Amino acid sequence: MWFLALSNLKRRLPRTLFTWLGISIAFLLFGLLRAFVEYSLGERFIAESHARLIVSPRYSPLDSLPLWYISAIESIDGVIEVEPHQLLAGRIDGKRSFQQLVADPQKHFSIFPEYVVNDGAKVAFLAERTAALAPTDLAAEFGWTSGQKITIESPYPRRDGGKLWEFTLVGTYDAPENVPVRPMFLLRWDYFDGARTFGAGTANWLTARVSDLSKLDAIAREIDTTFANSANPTRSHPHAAAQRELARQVGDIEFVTSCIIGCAFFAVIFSTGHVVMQMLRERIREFGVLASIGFTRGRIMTLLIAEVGALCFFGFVAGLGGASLILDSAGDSARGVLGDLHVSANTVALGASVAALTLAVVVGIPCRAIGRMTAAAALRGR
Amino acid sequence: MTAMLRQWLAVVGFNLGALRLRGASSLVVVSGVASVVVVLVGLLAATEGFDRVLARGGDATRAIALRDGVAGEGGSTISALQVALLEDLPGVLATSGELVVVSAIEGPAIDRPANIGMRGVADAAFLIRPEVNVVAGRMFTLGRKEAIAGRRAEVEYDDIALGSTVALRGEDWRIVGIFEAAGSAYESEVWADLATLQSGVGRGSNVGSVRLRLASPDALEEVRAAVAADGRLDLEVQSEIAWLSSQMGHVTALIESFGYIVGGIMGLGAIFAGLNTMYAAVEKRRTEIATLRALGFDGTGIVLSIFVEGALLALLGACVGCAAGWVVFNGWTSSMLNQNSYSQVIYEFAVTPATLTDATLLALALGVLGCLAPAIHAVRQNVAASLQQD
Repeated sequence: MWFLALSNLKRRLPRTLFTWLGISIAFLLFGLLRAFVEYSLGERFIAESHARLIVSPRYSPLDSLPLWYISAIESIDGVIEVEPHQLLAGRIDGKRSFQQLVADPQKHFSIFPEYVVNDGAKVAFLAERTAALAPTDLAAEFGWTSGQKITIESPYPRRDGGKLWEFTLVGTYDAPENVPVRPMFLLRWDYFDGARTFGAGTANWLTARVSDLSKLDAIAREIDTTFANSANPTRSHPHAAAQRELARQVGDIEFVTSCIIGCAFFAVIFSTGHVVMQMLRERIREFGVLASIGFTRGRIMTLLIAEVGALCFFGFVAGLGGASLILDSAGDSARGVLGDLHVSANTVALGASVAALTLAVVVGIPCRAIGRMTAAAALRGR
Repeated sequence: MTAMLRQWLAVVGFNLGALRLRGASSLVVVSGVASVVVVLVGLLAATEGFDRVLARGGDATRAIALRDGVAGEGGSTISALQVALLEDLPGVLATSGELVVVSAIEGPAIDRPANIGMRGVADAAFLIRPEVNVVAGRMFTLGRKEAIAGRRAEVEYDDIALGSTVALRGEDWRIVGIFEAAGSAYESEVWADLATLQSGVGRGSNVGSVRLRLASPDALEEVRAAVAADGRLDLEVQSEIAWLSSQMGHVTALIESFGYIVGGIMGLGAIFAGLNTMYAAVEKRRTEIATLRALGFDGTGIVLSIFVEGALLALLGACVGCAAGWVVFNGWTSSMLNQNSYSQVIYEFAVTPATLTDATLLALALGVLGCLAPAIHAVRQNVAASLQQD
């Protein structure tokens, strides 16, 4: 049966080839766009096993939260520790700007255990107020070495009036490929907060480590209720939800990409459907012969479905495989701009159902025709 | 020469006459091209609409002063003293100190999280921007929690309507008027009394940004030099036009290239779908083509007839795609986050003649490219063998 199906596909090789390529291209687009959507919607956080809450100002990401919230939140049952964060975009050498994360050296690596940092660097980061840790790739890009003084020009003026902040690089750290939040240049909270002119005693947001994943939602609610009537109400989210909310705000990414994928598959279904109808018309006599030598209609249908199914399957494989190849090879240069895109298991599963749906729609009408076919009529070419 | 031309035209005309016999398979080309065109038109309409919002806010005789080094109006702090100093600078006709804060909209009708920019303004804001007009309702009253909403904010958010009360930053604000601002990004904001907003957010008498009305566009350099010379003014002054495009200009470039990449990939898919159709068309005309060749017609007419067929089908697809794109997308509102100010910029999709032309040209290119191989195939066929086929 499979042999018959495959040899039928070989009969009109160019047509098979073009149809397959058309389907592959649709799946290529599907794979690329889904990778982009999943990345921006924070789907990659779903597999995350660390129980963490992001506590942000309720009304605006530009507001701040007072630091006394840290001990208040730490006293909530189930919260282990809370770290203040501030994101800075400073320039180096007056040109290249990159992000710096202000972190608590005592807590950072226990709240984010996924980062890889050697004990020496960790201890050095704890020992020196002006210490900084750089991501390995950033250090390589600037040619920094351990012990080097690094001067960053920051929009945050220092209390002494200057805008230049000097740090001592004490080491580098890294993150495995699958860690969603890429490492940033780390500097110490106590140094930053003590030396800045504006906003001392406040943080952009807080990250709370919670004892148990199942408690995330309840604790988030409790935090928000605690501060609801204060001057600085909060909005607490598990990491993934916070990321997704931000992405949805950036633009209606999922809707737009769904429309594009919809358009592409509309065209594919239309053209493949047409090819299948053509196949049916050309081979109706043949099906008549098959029927008269004892093939049931069901088996003839299966034959047709197997042929078209093979096209859809190989299109699905080639398309998603191609997308994966493109993302992996473009990865290193694009990672800085677009982040770490890849074709996920989720995309593969979704793609498989799209392939099945395409197959079902495309073979629907021909199968009905075969179902009503009589051997005698088919032999006359009808 | 004319005989040859007549011959070509005859072959082309004959082929087009027979096109309706291949209706279903021609529809494959039309629908394939149409789907590419719809997507391209949609994405280009989004960038065009967004660009218009950015382009319309600026005026060459206006400048904006922000704290040096900050990215957006929301993150900047300027004291009342600094505003007064700016007002006195040579080349400055008027100033408007404004406070922009951001608030999540927490109304019941919000389905997608959104931040709205709230701008605290005094009379000077309207003097400096004559394009801002209250078009419905009335101006807010000083000292009250009243606001006027930009036209687009009213369209985009169901919670913001004339006469409604909306919770912004934990306080209830009554929307008493709707304003227009020549289609600029201000129409995505709500405006309220500066002093009321300052006390509401505990900013004292500080503002976030200062708009300057300059004596002439050339006065900008003079003002900048004066600001740099004054140690009390650690501010950055930019022309309003330059500032607006720095805010989100890169986003439109990004969407535009995204549009062309997606359009390119889809176009490739459409070519493959089209190849099937064109090969089938050549196949169907095999005897006809062989007969013509046997009668002494040269290959050019035949090739031409195939290209004309492909181009016409692609054009038809382009028309369908353009029409669908225009009907679906033109005037559709959506919003994007300004990542410097963390507030939403609302824009209308704008389908322009240039967009339609671009999409149509791409469609034509697809049509012609898809015909190349089938046309070669058609004239290379063995005449004798083709004639014996049936």
